[in-house]
Amino acid sequence: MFYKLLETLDNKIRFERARAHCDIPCGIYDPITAQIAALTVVRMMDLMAGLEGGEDKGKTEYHNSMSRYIAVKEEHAEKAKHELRVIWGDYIKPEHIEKHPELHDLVFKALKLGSKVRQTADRQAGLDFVEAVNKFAEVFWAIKGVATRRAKAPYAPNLELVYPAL
Amino acid sequence: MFRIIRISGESLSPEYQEGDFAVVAASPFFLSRLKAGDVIVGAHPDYGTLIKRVSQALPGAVFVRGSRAESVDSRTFGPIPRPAITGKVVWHIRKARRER
Repeated sequence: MFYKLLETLDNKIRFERARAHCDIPCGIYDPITAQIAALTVVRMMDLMAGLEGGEDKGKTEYHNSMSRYIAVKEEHAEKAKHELRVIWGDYIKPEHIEKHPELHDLVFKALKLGSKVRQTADRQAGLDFVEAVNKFAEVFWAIKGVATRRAKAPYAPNLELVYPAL
Repeated sequence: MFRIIRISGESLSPEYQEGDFAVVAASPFFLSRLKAGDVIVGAHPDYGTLIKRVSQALPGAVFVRGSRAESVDSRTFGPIPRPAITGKVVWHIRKARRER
């Protein structure tokens, strides 16, 4: 209750800030980069499937587009994995694991799915990858004490993403 | 003599966390009796207003440490001279911790 009172006062008069510096760089961590990268993987899978059924199959244009979709899928799967590793390795601390003991297993599964979506064009694996990264995002924001909500991304493939409810 | 500060950063977590408040005493009564384990607020020319835990109190300066391996503290910037210490935390008001 006293905290709430101080918080209300702080909004009006803004108390002095004392910084508990940690890790000289910026300290900005956000799983949204990984989430969007995972979403991009599914988008590329959809574009690949669409191209497969098109009229240009076998033509130069087909090979050009397919190569590009595959390259972007590769790139974004790796990007998502990289972002997960950075948050996991740099931000997550032992006390977070104590509160969220499922986190190591969650990251492990997400990284494995990140490999699977590179090796295959399996859309279900892509969906599972997005969901695994979403679950990681939920734990991340819980650690930060920030509530989350799920909403469909406003762009194809319109999958549900976890957003901080700010 | 007393002032309220708000904490930003995670160097002293899990005890002190981002958004917590603290009442800080600046009187000589408190500042002359600093000892290891006390949490102080100080002014640093590069890092601004800092909050850190005293690891060693010497007559002219104190060494401070954060709670984490990657904390920026006296291992990085050396001891804090006594005149740069602007207060000692006498009351810590925590933000409600979210449990799952």
